[in-house]
Amino acid sequence: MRPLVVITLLVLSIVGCAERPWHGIVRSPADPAPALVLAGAADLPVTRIRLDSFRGEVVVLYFGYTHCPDVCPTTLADWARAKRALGADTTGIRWIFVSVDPTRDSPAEAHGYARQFDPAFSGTAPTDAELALLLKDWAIAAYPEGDPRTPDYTVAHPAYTFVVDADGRFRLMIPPGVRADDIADDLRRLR
Amino acid sequence: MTSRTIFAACASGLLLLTGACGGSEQGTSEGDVGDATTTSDVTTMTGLSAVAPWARPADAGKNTAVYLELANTRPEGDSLTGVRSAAAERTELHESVMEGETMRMRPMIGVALPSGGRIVFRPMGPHVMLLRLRDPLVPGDTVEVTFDFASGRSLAVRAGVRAP
Ligand SMILES: [Cu+2]
Repeated sequence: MRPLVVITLLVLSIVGCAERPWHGIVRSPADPAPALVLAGAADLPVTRIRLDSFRGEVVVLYFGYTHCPDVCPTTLADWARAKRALGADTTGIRWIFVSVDPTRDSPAEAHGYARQFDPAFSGTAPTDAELALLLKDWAIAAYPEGDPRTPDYTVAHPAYTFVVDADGRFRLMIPPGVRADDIADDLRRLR
Repeated sequence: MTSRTIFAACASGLLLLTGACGGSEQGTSEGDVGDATTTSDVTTMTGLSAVAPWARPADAGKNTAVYLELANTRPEGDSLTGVRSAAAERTELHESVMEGETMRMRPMIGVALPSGGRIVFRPMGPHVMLLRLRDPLVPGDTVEVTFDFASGRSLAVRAGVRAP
């Protein structure tokens, strides 16, 4: 190996180590995000989702349910704070809440729920068939607990916020509890 | 992931949070105990007290959570056996727990509250869950919940509703 190459590699590795850490979990390799295609409500186009149509934007995704009393609203409130931390320019970032409880949540309900946290957020809900497909494609778990015939069942769902970069790659998983400023910091770097 | 470790430690310690998980170390930036925008009630009854209760806004028919700290300053230990509220169809003690990459909720039954101990209900952890709210809860409202203890005592607490 030529000395110049060695030196270059050495410098690169030092620079690499000095790079400030991400707050979310970086996916490596950053493979293309799985498909996410949801028909939504015919009379509410914002609930129709085709993830690959958002190329050029960072997409922040959460899979939850509107009857969630604790974890989902905490996460969406953290998103809202992160969005505010980004300041006036919040273009280039799309925030989407996807219900994994189609029995109780319509696309319109999920959208109304997400918008309570920030008017720029959108929400939707899949059909049963779309849900089965998205759980498989994203390799995630979501399932009702308790008696699903009663109104009071709960839903186990993914804990992380998923972030897809502007090139459509699944880049980050943000665990619950990451501070809003730190979420904003990661998103700023991806945008 | 350290935050995950902290989270797991908090979740598994079945809630007798003496110190480590109790006060400042809270993953999310919301819900700081003692926030000035709560009703800042300290409700005390015979050595049982409730500090800084607050509730999340939610629509009628939906579910929400109430958070607070319960402390026992009596010389005798006690145990929390249940909670009730007229604001919801059902009221339960729950705990959010992360299992692998999945978030679940499980009921909590009979939480010990030893002398000098406290129970901390906080976002992403133990919470009082109000199921199927009879009326919407909007910021500025208050909601009353009553905690029942094994000793036969009960503690009624008014929590202010605020957007986190
Ligand atoms: Cu709950």
